[in-house]
Amino acid sequence: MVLSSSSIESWVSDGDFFARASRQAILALIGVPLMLIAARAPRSFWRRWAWHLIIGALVLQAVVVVVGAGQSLYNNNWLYIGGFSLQPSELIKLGFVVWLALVVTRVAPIINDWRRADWREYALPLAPAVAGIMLVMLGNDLGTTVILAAMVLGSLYFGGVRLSIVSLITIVGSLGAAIAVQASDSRSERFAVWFEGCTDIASRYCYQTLQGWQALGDGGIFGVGLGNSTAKWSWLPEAETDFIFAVIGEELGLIGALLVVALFVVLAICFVRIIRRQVDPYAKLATAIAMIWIIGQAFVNIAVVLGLLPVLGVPLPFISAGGSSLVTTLLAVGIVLSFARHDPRAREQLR
Amino acid sequence: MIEARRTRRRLTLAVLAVFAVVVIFSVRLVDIQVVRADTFSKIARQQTYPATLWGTRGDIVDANGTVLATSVDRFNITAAPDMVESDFDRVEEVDGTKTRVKVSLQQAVQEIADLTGADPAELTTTLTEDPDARFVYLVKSVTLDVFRAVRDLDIPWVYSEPQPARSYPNGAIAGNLIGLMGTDGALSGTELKWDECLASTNGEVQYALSADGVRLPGSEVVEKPAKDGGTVHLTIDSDLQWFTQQALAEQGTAIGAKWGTAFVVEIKTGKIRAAADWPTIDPNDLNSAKAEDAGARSFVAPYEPGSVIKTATVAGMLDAGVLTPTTQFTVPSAYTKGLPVGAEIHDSWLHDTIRFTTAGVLVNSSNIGIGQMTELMPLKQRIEYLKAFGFGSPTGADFLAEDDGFVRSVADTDPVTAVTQQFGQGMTATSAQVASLYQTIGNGGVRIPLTLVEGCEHADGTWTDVPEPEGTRVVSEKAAKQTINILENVVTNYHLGPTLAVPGYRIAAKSGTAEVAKNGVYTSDRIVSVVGMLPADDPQYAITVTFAYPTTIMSSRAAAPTFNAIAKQVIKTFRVPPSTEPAPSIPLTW
Repeated sequence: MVLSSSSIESWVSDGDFFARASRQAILALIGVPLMLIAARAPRSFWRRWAWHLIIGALVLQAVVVVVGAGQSLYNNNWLYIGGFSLQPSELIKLGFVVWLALVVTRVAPIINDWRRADWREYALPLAPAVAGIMLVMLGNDLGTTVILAAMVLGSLYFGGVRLSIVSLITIVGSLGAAIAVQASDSRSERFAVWFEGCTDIASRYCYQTLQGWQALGDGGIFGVGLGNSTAKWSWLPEAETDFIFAVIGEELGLIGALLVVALFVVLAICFVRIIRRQVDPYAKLATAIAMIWIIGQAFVNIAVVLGLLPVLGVPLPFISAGGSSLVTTLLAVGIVLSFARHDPRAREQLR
Repeated sequence: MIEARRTRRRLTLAVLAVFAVVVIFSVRLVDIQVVRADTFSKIARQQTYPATLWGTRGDIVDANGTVLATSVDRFNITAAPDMVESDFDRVEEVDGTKTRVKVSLQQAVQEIADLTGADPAELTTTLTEDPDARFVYLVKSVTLDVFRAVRDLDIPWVYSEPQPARSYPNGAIAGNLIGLMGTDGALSGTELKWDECLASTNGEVQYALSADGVRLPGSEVVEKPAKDGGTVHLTIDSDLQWFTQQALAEQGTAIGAKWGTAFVVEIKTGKIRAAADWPTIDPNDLNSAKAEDAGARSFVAPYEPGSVIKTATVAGMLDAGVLTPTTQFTVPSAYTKGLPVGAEIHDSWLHDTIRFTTAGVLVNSSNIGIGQMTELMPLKQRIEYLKAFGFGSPTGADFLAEDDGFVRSVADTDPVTAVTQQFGQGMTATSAQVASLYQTIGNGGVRIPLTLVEGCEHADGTWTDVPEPEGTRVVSEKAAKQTINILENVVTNYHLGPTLAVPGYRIAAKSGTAEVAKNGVYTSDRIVSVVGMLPADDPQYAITVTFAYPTTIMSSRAAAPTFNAIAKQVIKTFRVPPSTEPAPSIPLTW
């Protein structure tokens, strides 16, 4: 789908229909072996390297924020090294999977008993999480911020923190988010448009959503066929990344779109099964966080295309073009697979 | 344990949430892609643009399918003066690396001029005259090669549009019959007369554009298909047509004539195999002939045909039975009977009283003898015969603006004309009508209207035939046969004979030297012709040759060599078998 949806704009910018698709293919060739290697990691590996990973990611993100500050009003969460560009915020998500699980399993009981505990006992361990969210927010990436926040809240939820506390944090976070949205013109406009509903194609923030709907409507039930999308002809912005679902819906129709949703549901069921079979709370929680990341991001992406959420700008995991996202999500799957391999029952069968 | 149960419960809640989201997504997807799909795809379809689908004008071909007129693609180079700036950047590849080069307006204009042959100063004026204009024509009707070269110049303010054009691959062959095409449509000839068959209808296609203006492949929806024009099939044989034109031109120049016409008509069918006009126009080049020569005089220019009409007079009398080929006439030196005082009719040569038979009168072309014959038949019947031979009415070839010629009614005929019109003065006819007369005689007295167009072959392969012309009997077969036999004596027993004869073939012919009237007075100008048919024993082809206003040879002798050359060419082209019996001899005097 990346090939189909990116071919035209790829030609326009690079003079090669396959430029973006082949970049994606190369990163898939890197990502899949990495996932398989990660799946072979020993039981304690992730626990040992969790802190290294999260701190490394946070440092890179801090570099991005410092270097990129003021460069662009738009999302500048990119780090350019040599000919490569990467998004450290994706690394933070990966770091959250292994690190949040580690921290939350330890501090959850303390939080539940917060009246008797010293605030430093639970607040300090969680500081990197808040730091990560703040750094990404400074990078002006609303979508990733939302996903990171969801991962933190999800870890608390699945980590067994009392619902009243989770709700409280959620409410406080939402208020903070509302203030942050109001502070930025582009964000507040996007939300305003979403609340009022999109009818005028000329409106700046409606254009993308309406183009997406037109693509979907054009596709109908059976779609216009692979490669036949008209939206991808520079009409639909981000056709190969954040709005790839619209192109899928146009070329493969309602059936193709529902199939993509169904595949993510299947993935969710796999995650749930793995969680249920795990006995190790760390593995349980890490898998749950990975699930929130991947499934949550997929659902946010689709909801944006369908106009159920304002335009947030998150890619569709595994499907959208984007190297950092692809490699890190594959690694997350690899991590979950490594837990699954160490599941006692699985071990029995493997033996 | 409590912990585990709580996790389990929360997980179940999460799964339920996932399913809830899926339900919401499904409903929304169905809403957008099925329920409201029409609304959205309608908006999407509003982003389409129309373009013209060019239909192709049909060809004009000869009897063998040789293309005489066809359509070609040409392009108009246009420009948007409001986009013109003093210079622009062009990406040029030098040694494999792309670099930006500044190109000045002057340079760009020079490049266009070099490719198209246009005048650079004129181009500059066109471009700069009105700097706010959005559209001007730079060069019209350039070929594909030139168009591509201009397009590859990558000049940002240069555009193009297709311009269907007309090409005549055989040049001047049948140019006068085919006629001319202007930029806005057919101007003359078959192009105009058969426009309904030839004309194409442009269609319309709707296509979608990408956001940056590229036409989306596969997005074309043909709203109205273009309809190509049909092919007009002429009865002409283009090789023979070329030969007759060439023969006319050679002799016409040699004798200093003003114009000439020639016909070859298939006697059994009335189909025109050649209809030549000289001077000839090449439809590719509108300046190749003067305006007055651009039409087909053979169909549209009537003249007083002179003695070639005597054939009709004699044939009619033979048919009516008022005379036989050997009826004896005592021909005096002048004819005055029934004419006003002072009016006399003479022959073209001075003579005392001669004793001619009917055959002798016709072969020697005696006006006085014809005058004597008029006494044998009432005027009304004589005019009826002339009209029955097709004079004063269309030939059936249905050429554009074809002239009917002119034959007076009984009431309008003065005593002099009553005699002279029997030898082709005081009446007018076109070359086509003269050809039709000899077709009728050659065909045993049955006149078949001439045809120039076989039919229209439409783009889908169906035909609209020109209805098969119906023959009408004008004179009896016997009278026709007798007339032919008399005319054979023109070749065997007349002074033009040696020039006209083709060894091995019996040829019947009649010469004519008509005086040309100007302002009602006959002048020294002549229109000379030789008309005939071959082979006389079974006539297949009627041939006419006419020259107007010759200056070096003032008699029909001027047309005789051309008649002979065309006769030989007709024999070769259609492989006419030689005659088996010699021509019968009929006594011309007594």
